Amino acid sequence: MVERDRLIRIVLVAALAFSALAAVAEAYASFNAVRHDSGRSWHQSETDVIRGQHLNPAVFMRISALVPASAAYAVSIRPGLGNTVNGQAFAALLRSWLLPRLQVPTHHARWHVIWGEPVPACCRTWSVGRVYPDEPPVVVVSDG
Amino acid sequence: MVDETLGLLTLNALMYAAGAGLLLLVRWTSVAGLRRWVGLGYLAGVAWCGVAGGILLVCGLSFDRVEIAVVCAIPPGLAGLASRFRNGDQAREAQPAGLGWLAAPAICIAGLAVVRAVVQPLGTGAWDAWSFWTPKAESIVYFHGLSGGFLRSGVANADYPPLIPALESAAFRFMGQFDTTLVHVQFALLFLAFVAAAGELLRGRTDSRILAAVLIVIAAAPAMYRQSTDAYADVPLAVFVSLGALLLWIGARERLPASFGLAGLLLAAAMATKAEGTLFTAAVTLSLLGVARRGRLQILAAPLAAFAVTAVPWHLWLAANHVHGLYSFHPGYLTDHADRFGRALAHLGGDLFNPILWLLLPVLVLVAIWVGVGGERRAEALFVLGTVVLSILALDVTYWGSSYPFEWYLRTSASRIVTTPLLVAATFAPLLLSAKRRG
Repeated sequence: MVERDRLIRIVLVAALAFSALAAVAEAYASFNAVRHDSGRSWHQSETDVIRGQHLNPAVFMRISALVPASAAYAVSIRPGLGNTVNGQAFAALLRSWLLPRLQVPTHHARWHVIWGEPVPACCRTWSVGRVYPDEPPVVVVSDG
Repeated sequence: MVDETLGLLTLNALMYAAGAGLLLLVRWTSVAGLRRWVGLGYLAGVAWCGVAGGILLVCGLSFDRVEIAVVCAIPPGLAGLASRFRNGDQAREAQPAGLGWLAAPAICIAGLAVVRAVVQPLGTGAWDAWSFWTPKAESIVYFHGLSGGFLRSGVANADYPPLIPALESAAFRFMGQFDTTLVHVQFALLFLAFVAAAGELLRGRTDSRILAAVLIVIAAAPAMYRQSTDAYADVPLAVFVSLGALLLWIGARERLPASFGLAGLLLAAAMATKAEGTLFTAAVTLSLLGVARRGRLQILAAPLAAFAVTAVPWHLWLAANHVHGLYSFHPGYLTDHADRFGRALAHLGGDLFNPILWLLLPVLVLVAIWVGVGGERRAEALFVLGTVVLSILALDVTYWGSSYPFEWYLRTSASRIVTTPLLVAATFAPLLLSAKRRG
């Protein structure tokens, strides 16, 4: 009985001691977050998420300026780029950034965002910049 | 910023009013007793709003501000009507409730997560939040409801249930804009409310000092913190399952019909949060059925009703709109990749006991189960052990037969997915540690 109670007490005290240290660290981190991040707009935070994925926010802004808000668009990314973590981040962030524009299959769209794939010669094209310095530029194509 | 904060506060006040109405409606407490159940009332309100929001969205409605206000007004309205017919018949006060000052440190620690969520933008690691949870919520606002077109556009985990996007879209509507930083306060508030609600439910049923200590250890666990501020759905899921399990146990042990009703609501919210919610609810239900001496029908009825109102309509909507997730289970992998069983188990075990994520919480849980098995809480200890073992085995099989790249899948999700079984066990730890030795 005594041994059992002693074990409970030892574990509780040890767990509390570690938790107290963690709580102090969290309090310090929260204080720092308030100091550094308060007053920051959510627009800034969204571009920070893009930068955090090592992507160029200007590419997203140029695409959204070109594709009308009511339009649907298709995305073609070379598999070697699209399969990487950063390529998937680009696709996910672009889908979110371009809302309420809907991403649809290629044959349903008049607007195409092309990265690393051949650009059709028939249509109007705009180069909107490089997502990374070493990769080919992203091109927006309109067949309208 | 001020207008958005006021909007978010208004939404949360409405959800609390809904939860308070529910506590009155099921006769959990009286009007005078409501102040002692703020945490549980808030969580019940969020669960109600999220589950109802999911149902309205599936029915083709937009879950706009008027609909949200009506949804939140229903429980208090019904409670008011019901009180007229009860002719002063008092609610049976469900235990010597109230939080008590001993829970204050844990509340303060969890409150830090709320402070941080208000100002801190999402980190680069919060992949799920910015890649699909928040875009799904934005799409609900843009397209005035669920959009099959958006969910078919390649968005990740398109088949995940609608509670989190419904709640985030409600927050966007009340804030008046897509403030993708402030919206994540909702997640931290759920974490804070869990600490309060667990304290309210367990006070009077456990040693109050042990309860206060365990709540601090839960609140300070770095993984709880990080997942809350990164707006992952794993903490809301863990919160709903853990309190649902606790209420299910209270209902069976103390023959409280109101407890079964609230358990059903929270488990419905769990199933409407993530696909794993159904797995964890099944683990809780089977384990409790295995040890319960009475109330087996209600133990089974609450989660079944929850499944009927959440998972069934959601899967019908997915089928009708040709929306599919990328995850697929291959039974053939169970024989072709038999080595995955042990590897997944080792990975899950490593994450479950990782001190960097949980500090000493898992050790505390192990000691609690050992104390409970040897003490007066043997049934509760076996229930907790059964829930954890069944949950981990179900997760193991999920990884084992997955079509995703095995190592990548484990590495990117296992540390979060163990949150629910661990939190369920930690929620019962004060009860087990307070158990007297048998004989």
